[in-house]
Amino acid sequence: MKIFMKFIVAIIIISTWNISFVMAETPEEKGLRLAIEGDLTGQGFMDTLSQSKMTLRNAQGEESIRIFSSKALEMENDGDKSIFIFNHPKDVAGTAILTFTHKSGPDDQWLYLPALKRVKRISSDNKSGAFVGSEFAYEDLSSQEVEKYTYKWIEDVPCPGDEQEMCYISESYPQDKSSGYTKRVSWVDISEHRARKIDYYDRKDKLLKTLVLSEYKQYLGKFWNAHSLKMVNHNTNKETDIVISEIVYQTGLKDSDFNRQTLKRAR
Amino acid sequence: MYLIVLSFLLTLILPLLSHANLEPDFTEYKGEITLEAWFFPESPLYNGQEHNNYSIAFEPEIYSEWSEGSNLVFRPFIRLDSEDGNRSHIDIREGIYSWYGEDWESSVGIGQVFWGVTESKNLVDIINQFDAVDDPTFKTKLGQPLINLTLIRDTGYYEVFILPYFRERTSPGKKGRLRIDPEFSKGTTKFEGGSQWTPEMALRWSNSIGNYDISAHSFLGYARAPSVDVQIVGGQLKYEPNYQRIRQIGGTIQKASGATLYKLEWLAKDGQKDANFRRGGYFATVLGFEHTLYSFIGDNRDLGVLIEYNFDSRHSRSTDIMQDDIFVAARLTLNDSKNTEMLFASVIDLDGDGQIYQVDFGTRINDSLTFGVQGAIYQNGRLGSNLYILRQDSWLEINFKHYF
Repeated sequence: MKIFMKFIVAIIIISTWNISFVMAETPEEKGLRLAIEGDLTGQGFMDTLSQSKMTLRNAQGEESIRIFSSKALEMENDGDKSIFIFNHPKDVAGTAILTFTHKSGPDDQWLYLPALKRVKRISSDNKSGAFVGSEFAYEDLSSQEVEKYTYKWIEDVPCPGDEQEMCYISESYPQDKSSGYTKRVSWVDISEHRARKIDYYDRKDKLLKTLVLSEYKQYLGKFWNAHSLKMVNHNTNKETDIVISEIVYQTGLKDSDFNRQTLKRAR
Repeated sequence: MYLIVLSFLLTLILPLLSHANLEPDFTEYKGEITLEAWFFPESPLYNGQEHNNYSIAFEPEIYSEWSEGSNLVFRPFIRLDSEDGNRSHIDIREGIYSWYGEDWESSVGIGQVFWGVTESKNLVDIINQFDAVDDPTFKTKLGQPLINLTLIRDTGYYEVFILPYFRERTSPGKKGRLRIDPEFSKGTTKFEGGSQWTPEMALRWSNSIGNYDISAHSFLGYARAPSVDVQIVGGQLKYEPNYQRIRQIGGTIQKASGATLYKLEWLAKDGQKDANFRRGGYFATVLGFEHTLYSFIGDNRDLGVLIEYNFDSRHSRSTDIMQDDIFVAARLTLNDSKNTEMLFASVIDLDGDGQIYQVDFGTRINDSLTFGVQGAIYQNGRLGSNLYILRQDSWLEINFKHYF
């Protein structure tokens, strides 16, 4: 009986598979399918520890540096958990941010202020706000959950800056009204689902920022990680570069490493 | 004082000695030096007070960590003030050893604990005494000797605190501003129903449920605010601080909803003397919200609007300046590379007992130097009220902090 059921299920799967080929995929369906496929390539990372250096550059070319480390934990049935810890400049050293991303509904976020020993809840609309004065918004750096956007595939083109590779261009539209964007346009390579470039459009649907991702390295024979992220703000001509100097996968972090108690002793 | 420090350092060192691996796996030295000028534009009201203060403060920190799950923080503090001898003082802000596992943490030593959620005042913060002479805005706390155990469970965080020694609130000396007149007499402090060594205890539970952060606590020990005993000694009026044993329960609720945080702190307290020297129970609360307008001006500038109501059931018999007051504030965050932030606040007494205006500005000059301006204006205090006492003491502080 069980075998028979399995057979039926297999038939159904195969037939619907065929149908999807017969009935041409709409650009929205293709966009979603690609987003899910892209998400799958990142699944199973378990946890990461990383060190990053961020360079903020204004229109006059003046630079300032931030150094932070971060921990991330993959959750099975929900969005990832993460902790950012700042080491530089010294007046913010020890400041840390704990985020629980959720597949649906607003994320939970707490900020630890070491001078006061205070753990402060951050309002969930903070996602559109600038991450420590940089050109990155919190939502640019938070865990990207498929469910948080709707998608539309546009076309396949040679990848920007790497004509050897083919990329698909896909638009994603944030579901959350408090997002700073109406849409993102992403160039993602077809072979490995690595995002090469993302254009961000503001609430007035005007091009606001462009992110270029490069220096991809593969970890554990599976996970691709961009070690260079360059964000340019087209309104202000300010730039922020993030260089990930080190990232380690599957270090054995646990759920108990991500709570308000551990946030207070994060260093 | 030195005896406590010594005994606590000893309790710190003992677990270290028993530690399998004495050499920490990670040690960090850092610190800050603050240069501060404190201006009082109006002439002093009371005998002996000086006009302006200049001071230097030094706060180094040593942090060591053992990878098996323990750490040690040592952060002493010293301030030298040009005028007020009471403001020149030494404290150990932190000197604490902690062990921790997956679902627990325990600490012994001198610590700092923050429980509050509101911005105008933090009613629920009972563990530490305020360093009132160091910071008239009551944000800076004295290190508190404590033993703590925190259990992390699915149902929340459970904390037990045992506080073996009570810290007296610091207060300005004869030359200092922002004080009663005459200033508190030295060495006359009374601890009703015990001594400074009479232990205190606190229990607390806190948890996050969805977008709510909730906590509740109870406390047995001395009230952190002294009442004032009036004595006539040799025909002269003397004020002496007097601390009473209290019982307190309290809690916090905070809800995050879109761009708004709703906040509530409350407490019910029994045993503390009010402004009429009557002992009794009372209820106090701070409730309000903080709403942030993201990218309010230009690209990245956020404007936060804060409104909070402060209530104290003792009304005019309250020893607290904010007992029936509305706090309205605007916080502007430039989100620039210099981390520039400013807060403008006003506290308006609904009983007609005056207003307080506050400003707090901070920015970064370079990677190891910050600049700050703080100030307060005390206005229209009713004759004899707590605010009236400060009527000539509106102040402006300019500070430079060097981090190393």
